[in-house]
Amino acid sequence: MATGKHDPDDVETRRAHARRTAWILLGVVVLIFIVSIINGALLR
Amino acid sequence: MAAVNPAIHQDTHDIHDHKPHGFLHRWLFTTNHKDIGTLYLVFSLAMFFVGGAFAMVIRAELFQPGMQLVQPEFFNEMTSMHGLVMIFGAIMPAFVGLANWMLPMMIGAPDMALPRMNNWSFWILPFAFLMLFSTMFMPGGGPQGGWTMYPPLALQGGMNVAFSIFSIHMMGISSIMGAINIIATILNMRAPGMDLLRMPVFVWSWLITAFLLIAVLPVLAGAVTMLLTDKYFGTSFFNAAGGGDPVMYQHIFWFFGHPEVYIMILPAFGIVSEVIPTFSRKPLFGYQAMVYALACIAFLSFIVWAHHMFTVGMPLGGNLFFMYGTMLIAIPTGVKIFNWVTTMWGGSLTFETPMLFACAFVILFSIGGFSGVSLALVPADFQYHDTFFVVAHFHYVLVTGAAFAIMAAVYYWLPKWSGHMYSEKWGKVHFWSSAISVNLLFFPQHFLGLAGMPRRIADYNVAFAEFNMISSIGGFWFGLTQIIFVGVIVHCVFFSRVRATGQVWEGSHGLEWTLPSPAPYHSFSEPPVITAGMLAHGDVSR
Repeated sequence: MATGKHDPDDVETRRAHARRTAWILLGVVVLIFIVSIINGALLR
Repeated sequence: MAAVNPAIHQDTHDIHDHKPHGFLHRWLFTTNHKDIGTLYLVFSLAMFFVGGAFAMVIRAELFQPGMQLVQPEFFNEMTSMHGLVMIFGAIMPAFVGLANWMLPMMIGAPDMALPRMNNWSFWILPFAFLMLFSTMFMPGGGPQGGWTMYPPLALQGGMNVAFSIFSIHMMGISSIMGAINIIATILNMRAPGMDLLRMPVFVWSWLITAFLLIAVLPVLAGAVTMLLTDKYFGTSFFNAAGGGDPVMYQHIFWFFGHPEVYIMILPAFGIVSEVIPTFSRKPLFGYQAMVYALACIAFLSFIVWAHHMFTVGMPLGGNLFFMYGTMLIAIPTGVKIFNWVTTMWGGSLTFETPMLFACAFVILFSIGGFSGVSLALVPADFQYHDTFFVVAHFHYVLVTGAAFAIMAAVYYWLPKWSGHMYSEKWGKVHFWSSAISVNLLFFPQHFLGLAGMPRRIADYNVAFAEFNMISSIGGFWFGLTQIIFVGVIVHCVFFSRVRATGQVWEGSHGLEWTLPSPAPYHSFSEPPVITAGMLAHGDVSR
């Protein structure tokens, strides 16, 4: 349980993790978009 | 001497407790979660009135049988634009605004994880809607094929097809960026000690909603992209003459569309799960069951899409699967309603405006849920499909469900945002006027639908005249009542002299209530020390 000011290193580490999470999620979004189009092409 | 990391310097600089100078500088370039939350909420309120104005045109035309005020093409434009504006412009941005304001304060984070992307995801929205509205002034007018944009009807429009598809892409990109930011914030920025199963239910509801958005908005993007290529690039995804299948569009659209319904109601569940314990002065009954029920509803939302299209003709096995799958959703939803009622049971209840809206939510959303279960029955749906019964059903879910929860949230957190108390008297006037008029507006539509009145039709048989007149009167009354809502907000923010305390409500618990009111521009720049008594629903993780 932390007290006192946010350690800037800690904040930056958390933001770096957050950016990595965001890139992974963006990859998932692009993948689902492509799969939906492929699904449209194959099942029509 | 250690080298200074410029990124760290930037971050520590950002937490100074000051607002940017200048109106444009503050609101255009802001990366502050509270400012962006305010932008979202103001935008969504404006869109409520624009979408509401479209609804008034619809109800005015339907006031009497026969054609009175508008041409059928314009009537169709109104139904399509009303749906698009209310879903993508009003309900969704309102919940994102509430998330922006409250999530960092509820989990003890200094801000959202990706503040610049947060700014971008908001500022895309006004331009998306300007583009959508511009289609109404183009040759051929705006989209007339309904918010679902089924081909081939939707493709028969003029220039509006490309513009409305592009605007939907922009709305989708905005929502996806918002969802990514919310997931990244909740997973990475929680204060030490704020474990997942100690988070407020509103945070949980948004975490699950954000995953739904990530999963289904790209599917909508894919569907409308295929519409675009069918219209302008000679493909035949949905064109039967070219070997395509228009029914496939419905499958793909509703694979997005049904989870979208839950995207618009799960955060409402979260809000009600915050409001009811506060005014019952008891912890939420069955916290973990509430969280698991949210996850269960989200999962089930992916496997029930075809209940929107029973009448296209599916194999018996398909009909049965989607019918039983849909009926299953009543179980986790029933868990939630049971737990809200049980939270109130034996509590020391008071009925301030947020609690009134939350109680109305529980009752009226349940009515919408019951009509949903009856629509899930395949034989019954063959009768109800595309009638006003469906319109009544989803307006009970989205107006007395989602919109009432948003109003409860605004009254609940407004003192925290503004530092002042709103007028309880006018809040209650707003509630009772809304609650009566909304039932006058939507309840008769059940009878119209059961009697066979189709939806999205500008004229109708004289047999439906009385209920339509009652419904229209309720509609005008409900619309005018919302001016009181704006008045209460404006009075609270700019003119109220009653200062709000930090805790605001006697029974409120949670990190956001440990901050002063109004919440400082930068909050939790020091991580909070989390104790069990500070948690919204008590310590349920051990």
